[in-house]
Amino acid sequence: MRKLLMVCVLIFFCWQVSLAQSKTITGRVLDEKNNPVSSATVSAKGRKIATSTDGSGAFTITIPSGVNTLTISSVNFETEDVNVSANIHPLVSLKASTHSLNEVVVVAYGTQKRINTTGSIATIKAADLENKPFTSVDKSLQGFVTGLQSSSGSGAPGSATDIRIRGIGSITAGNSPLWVIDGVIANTDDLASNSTTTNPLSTLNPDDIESITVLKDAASQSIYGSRAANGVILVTTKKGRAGKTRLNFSTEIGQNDFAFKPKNRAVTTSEYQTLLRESVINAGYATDNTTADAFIVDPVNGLGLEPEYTKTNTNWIDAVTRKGKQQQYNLSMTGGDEKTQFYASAGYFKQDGITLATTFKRYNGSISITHKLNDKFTFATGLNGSNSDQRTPSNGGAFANPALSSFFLLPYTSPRNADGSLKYGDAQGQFPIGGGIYNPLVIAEFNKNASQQTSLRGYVTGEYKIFKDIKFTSRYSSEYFNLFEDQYRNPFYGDGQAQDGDGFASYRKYYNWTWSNYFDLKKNLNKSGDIYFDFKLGYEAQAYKDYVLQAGGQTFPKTLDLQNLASAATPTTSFTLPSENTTKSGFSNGDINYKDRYVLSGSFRRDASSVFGVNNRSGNFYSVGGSWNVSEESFMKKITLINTLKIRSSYGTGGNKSGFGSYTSLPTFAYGQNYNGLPGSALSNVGNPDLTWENNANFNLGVDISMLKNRLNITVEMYNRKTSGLIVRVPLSPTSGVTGQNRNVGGMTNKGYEISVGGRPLKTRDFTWDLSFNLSHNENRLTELYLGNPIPDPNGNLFNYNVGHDIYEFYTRQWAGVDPQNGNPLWYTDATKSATTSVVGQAKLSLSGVSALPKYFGSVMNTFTYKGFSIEAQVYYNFGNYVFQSFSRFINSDGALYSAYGQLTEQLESWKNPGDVAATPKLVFGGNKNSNATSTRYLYKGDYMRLRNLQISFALPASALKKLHLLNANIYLRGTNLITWGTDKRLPVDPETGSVSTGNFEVFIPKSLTAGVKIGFN
Amino acid sequence: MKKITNKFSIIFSAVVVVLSGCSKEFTEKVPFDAIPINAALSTESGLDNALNGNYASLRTANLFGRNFPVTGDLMADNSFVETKNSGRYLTQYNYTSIANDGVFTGMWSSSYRGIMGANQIINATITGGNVATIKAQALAIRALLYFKLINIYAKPYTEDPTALGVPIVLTYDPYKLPTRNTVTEVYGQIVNDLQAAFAGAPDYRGSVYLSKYAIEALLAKVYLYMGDNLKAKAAAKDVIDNGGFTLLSAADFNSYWADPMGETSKGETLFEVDADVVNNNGFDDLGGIYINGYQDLYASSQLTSLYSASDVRLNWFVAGNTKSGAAAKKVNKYSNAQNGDRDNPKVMRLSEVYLIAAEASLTSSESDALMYLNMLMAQRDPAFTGYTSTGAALLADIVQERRKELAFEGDRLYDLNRLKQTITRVQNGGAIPAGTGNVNLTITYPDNRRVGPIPQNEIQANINIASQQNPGY
Repeated sequence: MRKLLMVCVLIFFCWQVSLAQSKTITGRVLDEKNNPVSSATVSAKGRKIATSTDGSGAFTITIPSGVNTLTISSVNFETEDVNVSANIHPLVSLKASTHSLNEVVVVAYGTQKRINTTGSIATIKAADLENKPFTSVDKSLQGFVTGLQSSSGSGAPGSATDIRIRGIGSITAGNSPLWVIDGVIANTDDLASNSTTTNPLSTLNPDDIESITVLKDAASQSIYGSRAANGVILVTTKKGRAGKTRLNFSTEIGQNDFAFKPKNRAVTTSEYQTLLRESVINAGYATDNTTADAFIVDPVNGLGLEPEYTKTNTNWIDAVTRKGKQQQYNLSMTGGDEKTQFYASAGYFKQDGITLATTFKRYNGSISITHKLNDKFTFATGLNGSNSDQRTPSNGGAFANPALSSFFLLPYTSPRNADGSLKYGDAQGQFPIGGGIYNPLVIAEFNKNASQQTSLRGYVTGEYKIFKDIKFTSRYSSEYFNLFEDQYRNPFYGDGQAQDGDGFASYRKYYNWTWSNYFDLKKNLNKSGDIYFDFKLGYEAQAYKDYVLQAGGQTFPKTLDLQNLASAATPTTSFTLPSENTTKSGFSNGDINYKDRYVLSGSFRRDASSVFGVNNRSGNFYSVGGSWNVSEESFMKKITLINTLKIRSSYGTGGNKSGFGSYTSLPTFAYGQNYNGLPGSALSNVGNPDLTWENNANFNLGVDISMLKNRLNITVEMYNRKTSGLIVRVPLSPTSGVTGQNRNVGGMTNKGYEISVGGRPLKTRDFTWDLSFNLSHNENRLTELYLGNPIPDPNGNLFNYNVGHDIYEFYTRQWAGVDPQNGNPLWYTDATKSATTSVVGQAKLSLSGVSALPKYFGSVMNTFTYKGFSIEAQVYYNFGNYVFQSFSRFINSDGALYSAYGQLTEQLESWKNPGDVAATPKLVFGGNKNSNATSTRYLYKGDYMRLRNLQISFALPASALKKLHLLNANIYLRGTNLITWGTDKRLPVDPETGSVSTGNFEVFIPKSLTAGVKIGFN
Repeated sequence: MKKITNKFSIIFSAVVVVLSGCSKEFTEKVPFDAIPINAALSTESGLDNALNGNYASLRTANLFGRNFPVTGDLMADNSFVETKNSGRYLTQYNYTSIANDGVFTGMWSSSYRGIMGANQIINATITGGNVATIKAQALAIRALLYFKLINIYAKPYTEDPTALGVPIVLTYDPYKLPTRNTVTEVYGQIVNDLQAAFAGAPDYRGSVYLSKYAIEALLAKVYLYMGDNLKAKAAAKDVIDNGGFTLLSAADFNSYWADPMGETSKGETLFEVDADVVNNNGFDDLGGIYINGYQDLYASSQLTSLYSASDVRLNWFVAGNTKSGAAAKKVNKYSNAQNGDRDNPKVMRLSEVYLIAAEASLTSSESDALMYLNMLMAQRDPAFTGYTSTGAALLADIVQERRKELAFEGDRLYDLNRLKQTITRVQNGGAIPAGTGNVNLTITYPDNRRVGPIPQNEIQANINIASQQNPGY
């Protein structure tokens, strides 16, 4: 696993023998990088004596003189035993393994020792999330967790990210995992009405996160019942730690640039001239370059380009991009005593995207307090709030999309007039007022696409120890979220011009609460402690209430100074709509552990949700799991090579109810079918009283091995995720007046395996090298659809869901290359690829055999540490998928769209003479037999490797820290997405294109170069 | 300390009690912009809202908003698609529609959606107040939609009344899989509905609602399409003599067509579908396809050459060019496209009632036929002295005047079908060639392509209709 799981606990301590047959030991716990570990529990082995470390990692414990072993444990760190009998002034350097079964992990409704887990659980520590140049934590997850794919289609600051855990499980419902943030069932859907992208997770400062746990299998996730199917991500924010008050300050500044510069770039003006000449001659308008040039500039019978057009050459990518600045500052404070601990933080984050008019700015603060009233009662509360401001331009085919214009605009046009002013409505016909791709510089300057998010997340928890072994916890946690969108399109030029300027404002808020109440019984069933039993029983209620208000208007004054709807003469939209849904649940889980050898676990949850049909409102979900810690068996004790060997397996069910509306199951009449100015109503939803969640049956088998004195750790897992009751729109006879109904009728499987290997190949006194590697493989198959009929993708025509196929297998014409004889395009007539045709109408749309979903992905991480220096490198890789670039057909058009849109350099390698084997057909002005019709020609290999993270850091040594009165100090230099290798040479855009691998001309993905300082002091 | 502990015990007990009492209603949530079907139709005002919704359903571009009027002319001989088009209506123009054709699919499902709305009103269990007049209008909407369906998807009554018609669905049941009824059965249902509607309908509510004489005019048209001239004439004559409506005069002609507002007192319009500044079809309105917007369709030179120079109806046409540059007549009958208040698509005008009366009089009194025809002509072409033809020539004159008066209102194809006449088109400048070797210039009667396909989604979803596809598809 991660290097930062690899913890070296150093304890410096001295001891005193007290007169009363006890000794006081004072020590300090540090991690591998000399950073103190606070809140670690230090206990006398076998006794009920314990204390915890303070902010500087220091502890003092008085133990009976007969006790010689201390046990040190902490969330996220490996539990270690330290012998304190051998040396009077021991300086003990404790070696931690890179992967430990003894660590404590956050799980659903509590924490658990990893040895007791039977499921597939991955954790990410604070250190891997802090100070990253990402606007939201979901972007940080890439490469850290096997089976979890994190892919951002957009590089816009504040954009949404697709997270998929163990494949795609649904057609109609959502595929995103459930996020639980400090107990609240969080909403992470993009709620934007008109903005290109927003992300509720961007309101959470990753620096405030203590840990993230990813639950991937039934044993760990089924307790989330009807929401568990896509996996669960638990986020725990930082809490206070006892000890002298400690302050942490960190800052990072840097700069963003392109992560990927394609080899297949937009052509320059002189290259465009070559293309124009060739295509004009091939089309028969000219016989040689001289007559072609005459035709190109002829305004009557030719193309009418400006005679001097070759004198202008604009690199539009450079015109719409810039080097974006990046900065963040975080300050936190933690401290307290045995009874009360607190944590408080404040942060500022700002990122300028590399595309014009993209920015994200966030202010946030948090506070959390834990107070122990007495031995029985503990109270905790926390509040995390933020306000962020974001600007994101249009995407996709919008004329105002800067990424689109960077490829589509002609190199022989220029964004500015000779006097430097912005060009629009040019006398030569450049950037006409009425249409075409807009001048992106004017749009960036004149229009506004702003959104603001305000969030408050908080919790109140009471824990009451009813008896020694039974604890009752009541936790109320909630999110208040507010998204305000503000758009203005100017009256002079662009989309707003026809309406004399238009504006749109949307205000959306939701309030979302979860109240959980549960009993937790932890008990040793016999005196020797061989049988340990943990049982939870609880009740939970959750409600989500959403409200949206929208207003729009047009006809603005002809000035850029008045951009609010108050100045619009004609209102066009006014709209409010609340919606709500609720879920109540009873749940229970338990595990029983015999001598740490055998663990049996089970969970059960019953959910009732308002979104389901009245006949199927409640459902039961369960899981069973077991693990066998083989290394604890006596026969294994002799095998010293293997330190730990654990085999675990689980099976269980979970539901998916995300992504479809709150009221889909209800037959309703809706208003708004107005007539002659009077309200009108009509049936709006056929409803389905039987509609219910999609069911996911999940099998998992895993093996964990630690060997060579824990220096090599291997985890291998395989899973089979079967989804049944997929919600599919079943066609009804249109004569009934309705054409379809959502029913639970489909099936799908996701099978795969995951491997992670972590090791420490080299370790000397001062130098360590840690190496880890992980790999995930998933295979998706649709197993059942209504009557077996394929379903066209409702969001486009690139996919066609077919039983027996991958859900995202591309469905289009099959490109067969260029006819060497005449340069004509060739397609296969159908999927059998037995015959070719150069008539596009004879080329059938068919399944292509290649998918948008990667076959393999994962990462390789190396960490080298020498004294205080460390170098960390993470390479993320993704193989086996194809990427579709929807707009390539316009910019790789073989003449069809010459003089209309910019073209790619690939066009220069066209067919020229009989016998040529070329990838690009003969260029014919006006088009070569529809050669640019959508086909597999515009699919690109999606393989890539990326240097996701490269960090060089230096931790000040203890001696220096002491002089400076600091607890810790690190400085570092970090590069993110520095290098991208292995891509398809023809690929014109970044290979990272979201979970369905479809390029949509989003804001370019950045690479960042940042430098930072982290210090801690009291 | 002991005391405090007890307090907490009490609090926690209370929490448990509160939670266990968490009621069933907690997980029963209803939307804020919609209400359950039963609640929507259980009051008179609710039923009135549903009627408004039912009228509004006629406005969609699938029905009177665009497809009905466009296809009725384009599949006949009044309009053409130019070469530089947006891809709309090509299959109708070229007679290459297949079962999954979007236009035929849309007309089918939207018609049945309107019929569903009417059925829900007609079958509502409440009575009293204005419920009877509300239900009467719903009956008329249902009849109107069945009349369109039977003409688009079935052979004309005049050819074969026993042929397969369309399924008659009179109740809302999403799971019902009906078979096709015969043409006779469907016409029987239409006549019954219109008669019942006439009995209960309001005398007049304005031109955007179906009132008594609009319904009787529809009944006259239905009888005409059934070949029942006596009943058609009687109904048309009653509308003309007793309806209180006024034939559009030549003087008012231009202002009538320029005005996007409906009439609030009796005039030319018996029924039109309201489209206003807020509720309209956006880009997809009728004027958008002809003159301001997509501009894919133009008037056939064959049609425009029929009007004499003094005919006021020439004002419907604007000389200009197609987008690709050929000289062509643009259709400006719907001039309020895409901005402000939109044109209301006309469904029944008094002018048509005169034409129905004229045609239906042929078998009983040619002088009546001439009278009605010339009363209309006097308001269209003041210089014209009037028709004097007899026999077959008179029928031809009446049919030609129907073509000229009702151009771009979507009746031409169905007139030619019921009269079993050949469609004769000409090649227009700037038009896409009407099929390979111009095979689509002459479509004789009968021809399978003159009847639309039962949509593929119906065939797939309804096992009972799967074997009842129209021939040729």
